[in-house]
Amino acid sequence: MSDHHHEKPAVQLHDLGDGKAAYRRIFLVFVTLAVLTIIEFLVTPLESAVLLFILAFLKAALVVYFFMHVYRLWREDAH
Amino acid sequence: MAAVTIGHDDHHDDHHEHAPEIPYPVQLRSNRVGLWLFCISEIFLFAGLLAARFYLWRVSPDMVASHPAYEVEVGEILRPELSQTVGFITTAMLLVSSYYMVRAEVAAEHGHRGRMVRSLWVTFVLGLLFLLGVVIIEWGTMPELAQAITGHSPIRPTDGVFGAVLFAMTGMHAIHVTTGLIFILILIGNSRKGWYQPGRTWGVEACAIYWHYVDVVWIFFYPALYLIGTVWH
Repeated sequence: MSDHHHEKPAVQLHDLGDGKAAYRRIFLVFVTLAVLTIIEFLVTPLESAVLLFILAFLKAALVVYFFMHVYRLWREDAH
Repeated sequence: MAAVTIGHDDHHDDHHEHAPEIPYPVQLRSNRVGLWLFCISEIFLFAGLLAARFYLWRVSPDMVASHPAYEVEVGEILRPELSQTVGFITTAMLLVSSYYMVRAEVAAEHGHRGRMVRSLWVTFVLGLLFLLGVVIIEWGTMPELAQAITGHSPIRPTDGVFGAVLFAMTGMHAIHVTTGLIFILILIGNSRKGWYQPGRTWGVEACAIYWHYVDVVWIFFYPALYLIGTVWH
């Protein structure tokens, strides 16, 4: 990482509005997770471990990407 | 990522040796990599517990011999008798707590301090309820209450492979939830001192990543404990 970070603000101030879009996005992800959890509960009588694990991986992927922001690991800016 | 030199400076004076300032984005990136490496290392622990669950909670030839009335085959996946309602409610609590945690993070990033603190409190309370649900009901710390809610006697750690694996999985997870709760309390205390400003929210982000990680672990534990397999009475 070069010295150019000294010349810039500590973070990219690109999203310091009221954050409505961010709040809406996390709410939609939460609703999706809730729906997937209900589906998980309802498909239990099918006795399909594979289906339940697919649903679990899908939920985990949503949390890792949207809640844990794994993509930030590869980004140069602070946010 | 290029290296940041933290070595000797030939031009330092004898009285004041200044540590070179590491740019905040570089610090932040290193912090994130470190925390993710920690999370990855923990995967081995929880994956080991999951492997133990699927290896040990199966019908053995001894089980078939001792329970001839049961229509099960050797190798069939089993699970202990746990309350579906309790499992679903505790899972829902953890999921909602995860939502409030990410809400707190977004609030911190946008300078909404009041909303951040409120969201952290909701996260804390839901996490605590999850923990109490596991400790009181699933562990049978209060056996009468647990039996009244679930309708059956709680499993004890000494109840063979079912008890041992159930307590190992929920116990290890509960330790992580407890750590997360302490982390959240520290965060609430610090945020009241005004530590987290837009652009400087690593503490909140770190706590959120940890809390979501605990949630991800439960995402796999929930079907493994409550949904997959035939109930073994």
